[in-house]
Amino acid sequence: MLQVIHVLISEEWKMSLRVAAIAIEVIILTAMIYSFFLGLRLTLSDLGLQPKYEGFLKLVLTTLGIFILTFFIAHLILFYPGIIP
Amino acid sequence: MESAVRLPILIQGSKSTRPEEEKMPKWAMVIDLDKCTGCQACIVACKAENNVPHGSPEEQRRRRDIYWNKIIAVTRGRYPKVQTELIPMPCMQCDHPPCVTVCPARATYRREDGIVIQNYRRCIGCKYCMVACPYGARSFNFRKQDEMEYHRPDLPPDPGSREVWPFPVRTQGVVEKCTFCFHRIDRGIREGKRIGVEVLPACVEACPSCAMAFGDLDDPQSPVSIAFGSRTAFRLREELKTNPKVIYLPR
Amino acid sequence: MERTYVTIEGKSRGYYLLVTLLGLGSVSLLVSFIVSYLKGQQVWGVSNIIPWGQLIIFYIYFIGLSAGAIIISSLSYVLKWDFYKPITRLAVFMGILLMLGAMFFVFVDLGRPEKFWRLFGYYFLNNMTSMFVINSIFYVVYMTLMVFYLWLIFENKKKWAAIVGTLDVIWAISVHMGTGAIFGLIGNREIFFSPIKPFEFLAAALTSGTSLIILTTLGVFKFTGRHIRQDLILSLGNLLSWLIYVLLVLVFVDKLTHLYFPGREPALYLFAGNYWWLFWVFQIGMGILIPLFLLIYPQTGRTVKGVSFASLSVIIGVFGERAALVIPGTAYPQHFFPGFMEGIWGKPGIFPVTVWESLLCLGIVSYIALLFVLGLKFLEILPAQEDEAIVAVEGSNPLLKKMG
Repeated sequence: MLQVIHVLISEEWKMSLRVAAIAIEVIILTAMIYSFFLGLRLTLSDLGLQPKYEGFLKLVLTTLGIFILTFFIAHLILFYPGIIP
Repeated sequence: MESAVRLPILIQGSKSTRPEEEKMPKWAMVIDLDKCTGCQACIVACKAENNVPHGSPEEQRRRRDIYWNKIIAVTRGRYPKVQTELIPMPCMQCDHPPCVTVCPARATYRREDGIVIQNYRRCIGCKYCMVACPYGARSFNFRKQDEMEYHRPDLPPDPGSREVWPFPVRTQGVVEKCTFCFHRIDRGIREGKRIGVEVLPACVEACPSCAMAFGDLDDPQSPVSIAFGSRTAFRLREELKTNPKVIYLPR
Repeated sequence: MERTYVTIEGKSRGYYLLVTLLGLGSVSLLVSFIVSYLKGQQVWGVSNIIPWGQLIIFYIYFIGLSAGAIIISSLSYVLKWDFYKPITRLAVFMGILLMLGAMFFVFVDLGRPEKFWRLFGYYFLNNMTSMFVINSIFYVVYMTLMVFYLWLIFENKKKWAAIVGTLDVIWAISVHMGTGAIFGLIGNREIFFSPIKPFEFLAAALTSGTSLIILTTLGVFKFTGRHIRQDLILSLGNLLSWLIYVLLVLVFVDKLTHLYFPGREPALYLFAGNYWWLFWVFQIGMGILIPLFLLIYPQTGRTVKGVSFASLSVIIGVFGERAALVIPGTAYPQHFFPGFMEGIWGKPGIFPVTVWESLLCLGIVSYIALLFVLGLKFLEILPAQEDEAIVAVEGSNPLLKKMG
């Protein structure tokens, strides 16, 4: 099925599909990392972490999140499987 | 220590097709330094068989080129009384491999028939095994290698009909080394051929002066046992007690 | 007496400038990581001969600094010398951040970092005989202990802090000895192979950790306009001189053993080969001799300036010590067969310093410094402005020699 679509669509369509796919992928990644770290912060404050630590925790987790996001994007650029094997 | 966990044997069908064999063979290689001319046909054959990249001159200068088998030249004395030894060095497939001890992800392990296997999928590329190898047998993939196909007229042109081979190039970031062409050995056992006579690693097969012998060290009739018994043999860096299985016959 | 700890305001121009600079450094970390990852490690200086480069040097250096900082911080809570209380929180906080930095360094150095989780599949997925795995156990527990320790200090739970602090100090010693064992247990590299490598590493960690504490305390207190007692710095300087003695003895014994039979060539290569300067100028000169002379000689050893120069020298010298282990240790050609090995196999390896690798290292260092500087603003680490709360403590400071 994918092979059929791949043959039928013209080059410009493929390009914009690729761009859309990449954008969606990056958004999903960001959302996953954001929700994971937000959940971590909320869990810690539920477990009784004093509010005075929250500013620093938020900072550290945000920077870590940026690094993880960059790593995943670099990894996907390098190792992304082709659509058609 | 290196076989603290007994891993299941990975040769397909070896136990079932040869029920009379209770114990595993012990693959070894004997290299006769008297016959070796240093022509490096073994190096080229290894690269062709295993799809090992050539390496650009820049990589060779920076010593990042990948080699599974290498030849070193050692001289003693001064001209005109000089002795030169040309010593091919594949991976020694030690019985007590230091690389297996230090690999954190268990990506390298010693198979029951003595071959030290490198699992590229598990390797995290920490390069600890490269530091620990006493023979410099391991190389790291510093970049994504191009899919180079060496021209092989003896192979069917359609990649789909080949079995294991040719090897794909290894991904960047993993460590690779000589494997005693275990793909040839395993296929040979499956097909019931005689290892050491009909089925050989690529380097042994390519040697023009028949300086290398390969086979089962436990079998007294194998070429390697016959060569081993012909005269005094030595192994490299024996004082480190790694028990390498590449044995050299001196000149 | 209770001392109050405050956050710093962090609104001065100097502060914003510092944060901006360090932020730019962290961005360079991202950029150089992306370049190194996409192009492969060929853009670094590592090769098949010297597989471990600047990243591993920084990794062992930072673990040393972290362990050293924790052990120094123990002086106040564990050994109950209240004299050092003002700097304990700073030291523990630095210990945590330096450990985080070390983890960054080793993560980035892996060829395939996304598979690092394999190290933590204990007994099933990894190889328990490998020193990397044993170290990973150490590091995880160490990190947890340090965070827990700092939290207890923040919550002013003194009794618990002393207990966890003792555990943390013992564990810090094991952590850094484990890092030393990564190198000391490799039998084929003669420069590495030594049973006292763990102890050498520990001594180097103590000296570099103490020096970093001295310099950071001076820097931070001066930058925020706080008064630091002279004798605090001088007593730390005295401690530093004793630690340098210990390091000198260990290094001497190790190198002397390597100079005896069997096999003197690797030690001679370290002393006189192409990386001799790493050993003599940095490890011995800047790491041991210069600071020792500065600290022993009373005219410099009794001044804060002299102690800070000695600390700076130790910081650079111990970095050179780590480099003098990693680079010549693998650059020395392995002798497969007796005789003179011709061609490239007989020549020692060369490690070029490349842009991307250096940028990556500096980037991680700036990120850790950024976290430290921002932590000063968000967490209560520094003592309050009026440091006259340091009243006379029970008993004299055992570390300070009698003055005058």
